[in-house]
Amino acid sequence: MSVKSWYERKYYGEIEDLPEEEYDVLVIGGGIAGIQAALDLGDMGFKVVLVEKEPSIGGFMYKLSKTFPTMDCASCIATPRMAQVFHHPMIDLLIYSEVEEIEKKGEGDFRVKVLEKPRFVDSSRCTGCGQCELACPVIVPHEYDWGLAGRKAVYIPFDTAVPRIAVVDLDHCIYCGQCERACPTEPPSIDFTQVPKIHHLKVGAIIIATGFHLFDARLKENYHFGEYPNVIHAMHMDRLLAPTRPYHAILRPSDGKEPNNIAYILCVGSRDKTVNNPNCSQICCMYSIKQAQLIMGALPLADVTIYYIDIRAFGKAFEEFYQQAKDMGIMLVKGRVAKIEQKENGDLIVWYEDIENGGKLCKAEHDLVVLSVGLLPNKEIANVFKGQKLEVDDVGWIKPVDENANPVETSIRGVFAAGTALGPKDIPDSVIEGGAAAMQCAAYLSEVRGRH
Amino acid sequence: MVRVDPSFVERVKKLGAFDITACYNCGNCTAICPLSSEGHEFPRKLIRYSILGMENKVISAPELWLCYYCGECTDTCPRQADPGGLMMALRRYAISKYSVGKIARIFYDKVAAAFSWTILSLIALIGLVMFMNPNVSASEMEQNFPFCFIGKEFIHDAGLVLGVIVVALALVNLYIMYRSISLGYSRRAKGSVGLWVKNLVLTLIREVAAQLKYTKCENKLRYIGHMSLFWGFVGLFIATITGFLRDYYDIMIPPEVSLGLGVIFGILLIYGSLYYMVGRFSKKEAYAKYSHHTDWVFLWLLFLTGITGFLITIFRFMGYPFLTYVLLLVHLVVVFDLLITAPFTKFSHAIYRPLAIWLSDTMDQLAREAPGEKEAVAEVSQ
Repeated sequence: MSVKSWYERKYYGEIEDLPEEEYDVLVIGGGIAGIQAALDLGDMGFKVVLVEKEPSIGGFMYKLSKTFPTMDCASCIATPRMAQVFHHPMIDLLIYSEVEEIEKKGEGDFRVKVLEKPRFVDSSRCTGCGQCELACPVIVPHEYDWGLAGRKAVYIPFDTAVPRIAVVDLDHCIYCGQCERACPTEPPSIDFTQVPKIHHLKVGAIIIATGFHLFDARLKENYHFGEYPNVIHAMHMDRLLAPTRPYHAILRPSDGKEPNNIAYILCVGSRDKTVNNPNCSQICCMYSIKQAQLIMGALPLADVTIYYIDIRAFGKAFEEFYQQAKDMGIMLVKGRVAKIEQKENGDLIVWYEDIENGGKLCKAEHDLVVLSVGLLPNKEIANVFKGQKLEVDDVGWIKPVDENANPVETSIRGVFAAGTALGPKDIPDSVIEGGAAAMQCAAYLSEVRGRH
Repeated sequence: MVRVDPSFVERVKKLGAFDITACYNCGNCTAICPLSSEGHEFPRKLIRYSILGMENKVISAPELWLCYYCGECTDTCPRQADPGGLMMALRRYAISKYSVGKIARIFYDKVAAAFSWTILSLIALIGLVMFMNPNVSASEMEQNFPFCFIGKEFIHDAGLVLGVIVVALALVNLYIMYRSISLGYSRRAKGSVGLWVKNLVLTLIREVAAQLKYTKCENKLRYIGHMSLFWGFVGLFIATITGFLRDYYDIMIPPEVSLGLGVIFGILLIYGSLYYMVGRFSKKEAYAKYSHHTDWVFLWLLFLTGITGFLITIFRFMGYPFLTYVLLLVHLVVVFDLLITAPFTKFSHAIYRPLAIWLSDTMDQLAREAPGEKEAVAEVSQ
């Protein structure tokens, strides 16, 4: 949803225009790449502003269970970094805000309009105690758990949210005022009179770290995602496996049974021209193998089968990780699943061609099917540039000026990109690109400001 | 040992499988196919054979003729490599290969085909004109219209000769196909005559008369279209035979029967051919995205056969002798073109498809009864 439509739909009052603020660098996106870029620039002594559209920074990584191939706890790595960026003296955060417009006036001079959405909670007073959450009578699916668990209409985004401040979801709020009465601060932090604010920023350079969109598995109609309850996508499973998981168990949605025969279908929404994404998403093979290994730990008696086209274990220690999965007894079947049928008891039948065993036409029964969905570009950022065009490739990923020699500089000089805004990639590569973009940014600023 | 032959797929591509080399071998097509079955998995295997250039494997595959081009593989192919289009192109290729002396290649080459069809039409026209009888009395004209200028006897004689030639050619082609397909089976299957006859009858009922395999495709309108086309043609053939029997052997079949059959099956033929022509023109469905010139020629010949026959009857009763006469000439030329080229054009699928089904059914059955002799019949692992 664009900022404008959000604003038109939800708020009918005034917009508060704030005076111009000046920063060295604007970082758009508070995921792991944006955090890395902001931290590196802050440490170099640049004044950085980090814009995040969600109510908490963190991006995708804090939602994950483990990282591959090292099996480190993802949120244990992400959370300290989030806190670090929050407390950094050189970094300001604009949380729950979206960049509306960027205009380049000259080298090292960008004028940016950022719309800060109202949280309806006074962030200077809110202590993050969660009393409002307990009082609120409205329960809706929680985005953090991909809808597996619920949240209230006023909620703290998640346990380790940064900043840990409640936010009111006006879409679902029934204006009963119970949160306001429950709030222990004096006066209550819940403030329904908040209005959207426009921040006018003057920045020297910009780093785009807006990340990706997850492929909408409903578009693959033969897999009946959203129709058959026991067809879930891999981010659901990652939540089910995470230390902060919703049920403290792996349960299948239809009847809450513990699954004991789980199928993974790779390349859902990747390498698929029928959904206009011919590219490999690069991470699905490995996160599926990671999850399969975690399932072997969580459900020792379960069978896990991965249906693949090719296993692309291309990074450091990936191949060993893949071989380890095979040694653990995870079944790997070469053959793309063509369709899924549901049985009366909610079990699922997958149809595939067993290519490595003579190309036999096979069907297999599973009680849970996990779709390893791919990554799609976040196309919105290209529309905010006024007067200049941000080059994107055929699919919509930001196109760097030179894929080999200059992979983080975009077609607009002074605008850099990092992480999955440039293309699908894993966490270490995103962090590397965050650092690279920060470095290039610093070099650019030194050059245009004549600090040689 | 297989010798990789990259030129093979290039030849096949020219027949309509333009994007097939985009295939990345995922098996989606085989798994989605409603007609692919245990022991006869396609199209992925045929894609591999084609890309590697294993021509013998392709020619000996009965699977070519078990595919009815529903188009589900093409619609869901993640590489948009058009597997259904490859199957169609391979059938075109196989028709050339099975034909005696590979004559059919002429009709699959645009220039040669246009040339041959012109020559054939001219031969038919000149023949008809040569045997015309210009001195017709008024009474005979009254009595025998419209067969007064071109004698019925001549048409019947010519028809018989044509029939014998076409059947002989078709039989030779069928034998070549039989030899090719038996190559795909590790040992020459024998089996009892009874089994072969039983399966032949079953094939004729199930797959020729009712075409049950076609019903597995999702689009039932296409099945109805194909059935009208098939039965329209067969019905018109029967109507022709009734006329022939009446005139030659004086078997008392009332002319109304021939006329009635002609009208009913004529409408079916016209509907069927129009359905496919509209389909191929609008290019909405996978099978119609690309039409080879042989597809169009076949449809046009069928359509013209039906429509001219129909109009002859109408004009005859309305009393337009000149129009009737011209249309009769056109009709005869079109029918000649359609029949003489039948064993070498798309028409021949009418004989190859039943033969392939009959052979594969029977040989599978034999192989199943003698286990370990045929690898193609494999158990499905659940």
